Amino acid sequence: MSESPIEIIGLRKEYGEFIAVDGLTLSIKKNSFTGLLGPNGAGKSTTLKMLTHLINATSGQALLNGVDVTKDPKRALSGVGTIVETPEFYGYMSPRKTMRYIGEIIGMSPESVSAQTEEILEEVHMTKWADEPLGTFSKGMRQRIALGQALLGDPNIVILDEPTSGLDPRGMAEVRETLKNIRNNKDLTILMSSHILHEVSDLCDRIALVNNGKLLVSDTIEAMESATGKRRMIAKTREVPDERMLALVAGLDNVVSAERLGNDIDLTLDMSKGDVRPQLYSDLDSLGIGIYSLFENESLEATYLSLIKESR
Amino acid sequence: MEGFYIERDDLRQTYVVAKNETYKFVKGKRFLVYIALMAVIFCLVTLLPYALGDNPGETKGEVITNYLMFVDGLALIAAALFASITLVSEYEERTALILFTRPIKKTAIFIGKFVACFALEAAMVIVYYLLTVGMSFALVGDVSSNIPQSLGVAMTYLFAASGIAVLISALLKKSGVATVMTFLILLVIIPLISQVMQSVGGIDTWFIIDSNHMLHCIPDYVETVNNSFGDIISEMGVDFVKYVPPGRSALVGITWGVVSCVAAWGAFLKKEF
Repeated sequence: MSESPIEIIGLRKEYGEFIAVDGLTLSIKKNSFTGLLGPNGAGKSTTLKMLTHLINATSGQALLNGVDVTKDPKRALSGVGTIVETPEFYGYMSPRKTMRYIGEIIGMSPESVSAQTEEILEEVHMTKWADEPLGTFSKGMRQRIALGQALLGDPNIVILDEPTSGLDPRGMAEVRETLKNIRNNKDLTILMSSHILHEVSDLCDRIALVNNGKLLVSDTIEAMESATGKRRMIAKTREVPDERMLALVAGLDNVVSAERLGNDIDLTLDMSKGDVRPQLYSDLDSLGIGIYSLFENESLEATYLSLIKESR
Repeated sequence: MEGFYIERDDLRQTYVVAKNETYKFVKGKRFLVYIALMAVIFCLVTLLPYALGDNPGETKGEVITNYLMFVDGLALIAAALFASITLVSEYEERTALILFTRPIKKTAIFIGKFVACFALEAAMVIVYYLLTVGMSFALVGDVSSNIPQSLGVAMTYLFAASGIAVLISALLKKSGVATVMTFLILLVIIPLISQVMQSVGGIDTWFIIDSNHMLHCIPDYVETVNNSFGDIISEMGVDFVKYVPPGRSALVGITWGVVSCVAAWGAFLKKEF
């Protein structure tokens, strides 16, 4: 098996004059959970729809397990589970019947469909509703079934296009929890597009950032965060920070700026000399200004914004 | 984009899609509406004459005339209700996001869905023919020997109408619009074109599909209708209804069906989500 189960080479999609994906080249490492990030209109969904054969590429290659989906979609998708956005099911079918139908489509034996269905429904916490019609389910429940059907047939690749889009907070949490279980239990390569940064940082170990249909960077989250050389932290104080406190914090080594953020202090650290956070903890403590908590403030967001800004 | 080549596994998947599609239609409201419509037509044709102190027919020609005069409408409605939504509903209801992302050729999906629609529509029209045959035996103890060829023409018309409906389904984005468009094209546009070509251009439009042909290919029907309009016919010096050779009509239906199916298949392959 290739070290890159998903290999995109010079993929391009044009809609008349508009270029949605502009020669995108990207390799997804085996057994990684990669987040495909980018602003609206960056080409994330178009890329994933080309990978899942929902739209045809104008040119380029999209290899899934070494098979080009633009040339032989049936063979390329044979080891792939997908969720594109929030799909719908036939409302009159139950989860069990849906799994049976999909199992039949992909050529599984009735016995193995039955056995896997029980396992999967357990995994997505839907056993209780296995025989209820899907038309009566909430969006979150349907999305958990969508996750379940994506795992049917033991795929080695799972492609997810904004799987929590359109869900309420509870539905989002449920789907994320299920994704965490899948990530922990399965030997899978997962590519997930999302614009929810904390979701990506929570679930993914790697990130591919695209903008204007092109790849900006693809790396581990850690490497990307340190690539910009800056990291944002939030310091919680016992008292509302005043100008004197902010000035003291801003004057510390490796602190680029310190601004008031509500009742907290928003710090930007210069990480170019390495991880300076341990030093910062002791420096803040020695200031004696009543700082009782220090945590990272969406450092991925800062990295993301910085990279997107540079690419404009 | 995939080409037209079929492997054994594609046939298996085609069967799975067809089975599910049939199940989907049978569980749906449109099927209930259609069955109800068929039952209402059959009951009215059977009971209304008795209510008016008559009966649904005294000769085999009269029986099939009374019963089968609605079969062309039933065929047209069947195509509009089922074939017109078979593809477009997958996009509109977002179920395509599950089915189309699976390892299955769009060709297998297309064939499976078309076969399911056509088989269901054909089954319902056949049921209506069987009811007509049953009533003919019950009322006059005989049945027109031309019923099988009428049924054959009805099947080819249904094939053509379903092909056109599936083409519309592949091109449009809303199921409701596709159904209305199919109705309009089959009920108004095609007959209108045929009428204008005949009356203005003086062209014999034998090459255009016509739902009336499933009746006009039955000599008993033609004779019964022409006899019932005897006075008008003698004044005009022409027959009110002309006999249509069933073979030619069937060939026209098959040709329209094949051409529209090929066009629908091409449009479906190109259609993106």
